[in-house]
Amino acid sequence: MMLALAFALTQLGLAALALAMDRHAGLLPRRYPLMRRALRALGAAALAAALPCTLARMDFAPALATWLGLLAPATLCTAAALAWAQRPRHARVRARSAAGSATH
Amino acid sequence: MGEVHTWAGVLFGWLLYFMFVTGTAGYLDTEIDRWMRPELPVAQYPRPRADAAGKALDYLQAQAPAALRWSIQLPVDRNEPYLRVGWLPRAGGAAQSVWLDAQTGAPIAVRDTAGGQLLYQMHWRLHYLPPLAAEWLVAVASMALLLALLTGIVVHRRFFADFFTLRLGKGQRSWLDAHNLAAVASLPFQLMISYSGLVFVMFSFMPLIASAWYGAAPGAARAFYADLFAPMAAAAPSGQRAASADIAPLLADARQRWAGAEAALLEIAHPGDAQARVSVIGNFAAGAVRSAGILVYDGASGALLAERPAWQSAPRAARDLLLGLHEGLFGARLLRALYVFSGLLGCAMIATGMLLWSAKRRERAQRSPAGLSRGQALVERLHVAAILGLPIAIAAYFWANRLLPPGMAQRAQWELHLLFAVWLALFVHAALTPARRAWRQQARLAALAFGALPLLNAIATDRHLVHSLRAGDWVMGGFDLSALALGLAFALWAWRLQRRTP
Amino acid sequence: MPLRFADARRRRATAARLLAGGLGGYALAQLLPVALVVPWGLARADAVLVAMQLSFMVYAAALMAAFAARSARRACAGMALALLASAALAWAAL
Repeated sequence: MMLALAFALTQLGLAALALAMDRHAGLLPRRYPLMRRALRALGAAALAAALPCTLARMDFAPALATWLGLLAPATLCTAAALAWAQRPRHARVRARSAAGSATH
Repeated sequence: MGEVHTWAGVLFGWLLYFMFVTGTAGYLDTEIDRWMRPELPVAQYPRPRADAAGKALDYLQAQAPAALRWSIQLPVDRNEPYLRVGWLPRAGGAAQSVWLDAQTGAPIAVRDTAGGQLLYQMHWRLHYLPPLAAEWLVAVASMALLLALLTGIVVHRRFFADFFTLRLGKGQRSWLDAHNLAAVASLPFQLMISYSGLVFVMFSFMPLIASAWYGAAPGAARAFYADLFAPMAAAAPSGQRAASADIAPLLADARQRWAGAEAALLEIAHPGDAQARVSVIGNFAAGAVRSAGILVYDGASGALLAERPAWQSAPRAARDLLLGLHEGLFGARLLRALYVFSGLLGCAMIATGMLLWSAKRRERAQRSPAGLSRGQALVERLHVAAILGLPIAIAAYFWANRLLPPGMAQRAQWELHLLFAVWLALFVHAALTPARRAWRQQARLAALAFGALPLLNAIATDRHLVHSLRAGDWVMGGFDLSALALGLAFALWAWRLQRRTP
Repeated sequence: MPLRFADARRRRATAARLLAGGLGGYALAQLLPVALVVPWGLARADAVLVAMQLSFMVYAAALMAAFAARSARRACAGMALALLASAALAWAAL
């Protein structure tokens, strides 16, 4: 349970940090100036909170190694999700226009 | 700086890929060992030490009473789950090794195979090379890896901005993104693995440092090793027979001295002699620091002669920590999975790096009037065998394990010869086939080689997947399932390659 | 003609940096850690272990510095200086 929580926190933390970045800011719903700062703070906090979760289940060295190791799958998942969300615009426009023409 | 990165990668890419693939497979050596020895029952560990040791000693006393050394590996954990005895024959020759049933003490007839252990050893010893040559090659390659990582970080212009960037379907840029992502996602692991790998070979890679303190005379290196791995109460055999002391009190004494930690390995020098020595060794894989206590007892009287605690000094502990992190034996299931995942990312990092380099050169060559040179075209083709061919060859090793007749002479060696023969054949195939077609064909072959392993297992043995799942044998079952998953992954890759060709 | 000359010069510069960083760095990796560790007064075997574990950082840093230097001449000069200084320190300490 604790380990699943550690992974969830790492994943959410990285996702939040990614969304707070310039390059991926287009995915945010609205351009609140504070939203990116909040995401950055929450993301860092989530990443940091994952470490005590691993420490609860194992000794220091394995916990630290696990915490660092969880970054790998979390980074890949975040990158894959962003790549899918930011896939070429014309595909989405095509889909939208196809849906539009279907209703006519 | 970019030149250093490129040259380190180009010169040592294939070798480093080999080391990463065998290293990742070798990390699962215990599980692969088990699958390659289906005669072994499901392991039950840990077992009461005194009981297991007693059964082992009974067997050794009956089978090899006059041996020079006995060794008893007790069933302790996931890394050493079986009771295994070994002995060095007095008449000379190779060390013998036998698996014993931990409950009955009876020997288990196991096929002659080098198992997953050899995949692990190939990681640093390579194969078919004299040991010194392999050691130097691996050491230089490890240094190149460290340099490639550090220069890669330095030349990665937008390290943080590009952290999660993955642009697919954009040719060279996609290869670059994949290369960067694979490296950056597992960066702590890659830095740890490369530095700790160098620590493994540091005695021979940086010998002048030892000379600074021990001098340059011929016996200096031996003096250094003697200081580091001090011989404990060693004695020549007296030639007089003497009754051996009971093992149970020795194990109890060790447990008491180690605050409850149990023995893992026993080594008996000159068994049955008046000067016999019983070394009781703790579990080196228990924690991240790869160290454990060693107690040496008099074999005849049972008196304690020498003791080496797990902690000796901070510099030694630092080295033991780096070695322990590299081997990663201390991890529970999640950490093990993360090690395998990071190892695979390392393989991807190197493979994508080499393919990126080839793609860049192809682009540059196509712009020039001369076009792609014969050498460049050949290298592009050979990449297929270097990258896809190696996993296929390892699958062939597993196929050989099931197909070669059990009584065959030099069976273990032949399994390995087949691994390399298949790999060589794949290099020839790649050299003669246009690159695109070679990628498709070898990807399909990889899918078949791995995907059909569970089927082969079912035909050749009775420890097939259904049986394993029903019996809760997660090692055998896990291997079969992983083979299926790998087959599926390669099949998906082959299908995507198929779709991309017009 | 001028293009080929520039190519040869670049190749010579790279070779010089490689020698300075690769060979010089290897020597530095075995001199500097010794010079740094001897004053700590550790037992012989321990001192060797510490120096060896530090050596790879020195080697990597030296090789990267040789290629980060503004010119091949500076790289060689810098390496020679570092080697002399480390040798002197090590000799004085031992």
